[in-house]
Amino acid sequence: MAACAGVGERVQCIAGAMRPVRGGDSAQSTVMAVYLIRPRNSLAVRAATLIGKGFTYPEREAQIKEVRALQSQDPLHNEILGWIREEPAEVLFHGAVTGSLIVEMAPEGAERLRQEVPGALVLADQPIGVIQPRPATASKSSVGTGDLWHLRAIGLEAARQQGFAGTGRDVRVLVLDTGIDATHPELQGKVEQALAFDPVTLREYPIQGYDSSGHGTHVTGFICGNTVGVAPEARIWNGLMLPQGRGTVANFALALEWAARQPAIQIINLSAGIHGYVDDLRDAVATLMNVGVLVVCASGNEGANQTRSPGNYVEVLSVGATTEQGRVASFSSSGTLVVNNHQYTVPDVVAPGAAVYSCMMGGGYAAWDGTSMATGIVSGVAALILERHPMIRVPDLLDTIAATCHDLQQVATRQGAGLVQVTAAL
Amino acid sequence: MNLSRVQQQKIDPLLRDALMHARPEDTLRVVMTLQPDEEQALEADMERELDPTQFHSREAYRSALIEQQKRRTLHEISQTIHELERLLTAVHGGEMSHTVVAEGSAQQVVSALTLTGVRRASLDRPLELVEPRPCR
Repeated sequence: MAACAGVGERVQCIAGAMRPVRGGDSAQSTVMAVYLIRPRNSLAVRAATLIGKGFTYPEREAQIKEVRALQSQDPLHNEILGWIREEPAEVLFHGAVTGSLIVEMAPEGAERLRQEVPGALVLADQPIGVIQPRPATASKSSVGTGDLWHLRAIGLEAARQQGFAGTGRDVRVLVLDTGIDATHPELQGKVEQALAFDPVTLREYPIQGYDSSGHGTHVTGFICGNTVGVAPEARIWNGLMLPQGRGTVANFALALEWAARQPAIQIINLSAGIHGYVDDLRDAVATLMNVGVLVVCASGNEGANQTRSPGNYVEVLSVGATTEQGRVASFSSSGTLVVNNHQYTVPDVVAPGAAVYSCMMGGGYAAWDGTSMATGIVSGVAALILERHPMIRVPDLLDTIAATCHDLQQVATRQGAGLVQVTAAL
Repeated sequence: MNLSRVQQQKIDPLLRDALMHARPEDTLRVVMTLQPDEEQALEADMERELDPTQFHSREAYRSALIEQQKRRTLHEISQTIHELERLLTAVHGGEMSHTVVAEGSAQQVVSALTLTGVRRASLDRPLELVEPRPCR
């Protein structure tokens, strides 16, 4: 936090928390707190209408210079600065453009400033929580062909028009996620098994098909939804491993071990990870490949040069996201890794993942952005290929998917082999 | 708790931090990657690769792969698993892969790190969903 800059040596600063600060050897302490202080009506803000509004680099530079000059001439701003200089207070941050000051001082001092300089706005710092990203489009009760650009982009719509009848029949996909709402009309009758992996007891137990947050339902819609899905006759195993989107590495490792023992499972769809490269799960993931299971994993939603594990393991099919315009989405994670002297890039492939419509928990549809969405689509394509070539080895399946991708003419570090196509299933 | 150089090399920073500050009796949950016995691993490598076309279904092929993997894992790490079971409160997994989840006191975990069959250990940590982003 900017407000903590410069005080880290003394204590870890927690926004909004008041803390005692000891002076020298004295046992006495003064309670200090962090405040945001600025003029109520900044001259610079009032003068904004006088300043050019262009967005070119030279215009922006001129604007910044102009506002800084106005700020330094603002009598109220200077009065506040002068007042603070005479107090036992520490300026942690001085915004030359905004005129805001972040100051550590005693609450009594802050109160005196409010009274003596009525034009000063003095706000106590408050804890601030991250706004969790969530789907923004309003849900709708039905989707039309105009909403299904993802099926066009992977060549499925055209293939179906030309008579392609592949449906991923009886291919079993384990979705390790937040759960799945099996009552959604798109998914009814498709969830064959449902179980939860308990992060406390580390045991699995059967559950009724439900979703703890909606993510798993949205992802599963892409795999096997009647309208929005790629492989509508694929069979789903609902593995609730991330209740409310949170799990643990230990639980994940044991869920993978459990999955490896199930002969029916052919594909595992994963949308979870730890930032950076963490090899704790690599052996468990590699084992899945050894026993004939394809692991399809989201690369992450943090943009270029950032990846997550296990999405950045060489043993998974790592998936990034594209837009309807056929570009790699800016949020799609990617990167170059060197592991055990082997260099490779992530993701392996990309698939539609920006503003893509799928099932909402409880019914209806909404468009979400994410590599998780792209991952569901790739799992669906893999199910179509496995239906067509049931005895294919996993390394050959990986090669086949990569070899039939459409080149988006973007760098390999962003697009991998390119945009996934259903060609190999035809 | 004090850790030798070898023990420190096997663990991630989170576990190192936890062990440094833990009391010996504090309970920890750790994800361990075990080192396969080299001789046994070599033997397993010699095992015939299964040809999927020799099976009547993918499920049958996968069943055979699973049995092969179980045998292989048993040969490679069973000795270390037995040693861990003696040292720790609980050991989960290790039937199909070299990854196990071990639970025990900090003192027990430190003892387990002396085993040559333990290649790496990390403190259990939260795992996050790859959260969807707002559509624009």
